[in-house]
Amino acid sequence: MGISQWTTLNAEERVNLWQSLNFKVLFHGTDLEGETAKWESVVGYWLEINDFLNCLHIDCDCKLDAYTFSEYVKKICKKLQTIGVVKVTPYFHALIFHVPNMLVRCHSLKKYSTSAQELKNSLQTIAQFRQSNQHNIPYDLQVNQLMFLWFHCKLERGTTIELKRCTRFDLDEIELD
Amino acid sequence: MCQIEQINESGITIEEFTYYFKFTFCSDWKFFALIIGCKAANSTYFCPWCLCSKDERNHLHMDWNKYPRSWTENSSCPKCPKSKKNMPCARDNHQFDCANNLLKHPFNPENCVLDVLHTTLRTSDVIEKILYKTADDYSLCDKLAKMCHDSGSLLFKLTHKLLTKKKESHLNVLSMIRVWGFLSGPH
Repeated sequence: MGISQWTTLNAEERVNLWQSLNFKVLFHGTDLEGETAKWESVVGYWLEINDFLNCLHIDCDCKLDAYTFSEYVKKICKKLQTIGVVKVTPYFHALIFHVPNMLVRCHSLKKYSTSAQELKNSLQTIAQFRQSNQHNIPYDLQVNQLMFLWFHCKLERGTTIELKRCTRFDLDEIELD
Repeated sequence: MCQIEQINESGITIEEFTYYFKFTFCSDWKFFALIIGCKAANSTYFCPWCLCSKDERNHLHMDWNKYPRSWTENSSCPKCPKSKKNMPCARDNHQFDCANNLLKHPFNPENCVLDVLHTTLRTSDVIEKILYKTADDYSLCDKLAKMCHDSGSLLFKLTHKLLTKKKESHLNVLSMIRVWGFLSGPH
């Protein structure tokens, strides 16, 4: 008896995962064959909810609207209970009771998505850890940010600079405008 | 926050045009709970918008919009009318102190929204967790991994942890610390 560890996927990869899974094939030859329809239904509902949330609602053909959305999420919560998810999580609670109001007020929540900030955070972290080799992290983070700003300003003025030549010790000479 | 409030009230004037702004706050649940001071998603009164408690989350027939959480004064939950003098039934105003709320004017529950990216991730987590458990219980891990590989999905099985008794795992950790101590030498 054990627990398998799986890779962590980003939002797009998760959507691809749920779209590509064939539960009939996966559960074939096991006691779960009878539960295929339940799983397909849960995943189908999740994909529709996800599509609706990630739509800007400009000339779209979404079947759901802010008023029917809540009932739809309630359905997935009930379906989830049939496959073993006992508790309604805070995100599902918000989807049922609060997101419909937000949708009425804001039309679409996609325009407020923080995916761009998350991407910047991820790239920043990767760059920082590659450069610093995990030593003196706050200092290296500052270096990385300042160098980014400095080169950004310089490149805007049309000056070409070779990034590799600049080291952390050149920072003393950098003056930000 | 002062700058946001100022821009919200008077806008920005460039030449003869004044541009007015409408601010909307958007974040994941964790940051939202931290910034308004209602602890975390696993606290009893977890919701920034209403007074649903974690034991009542499964009551899907309830309309929780009738019990909104006010960010500026005491709020009433369904149990409050039974308490003395119509005061909040929980001593600490349902785990919320208005003074601890860092989201001041112009932000209020009406212009704060939940991030769709984190909604996608956290709701998918729920289904994934049960899928991985089912795969473990019915020995479907290899089949699932192969199916994902064939379809081009980036889901890979990393490791297979064996469940051990608490005492044994504690001993393992101790022995690991000893080995690590030996390798790294005295400090």
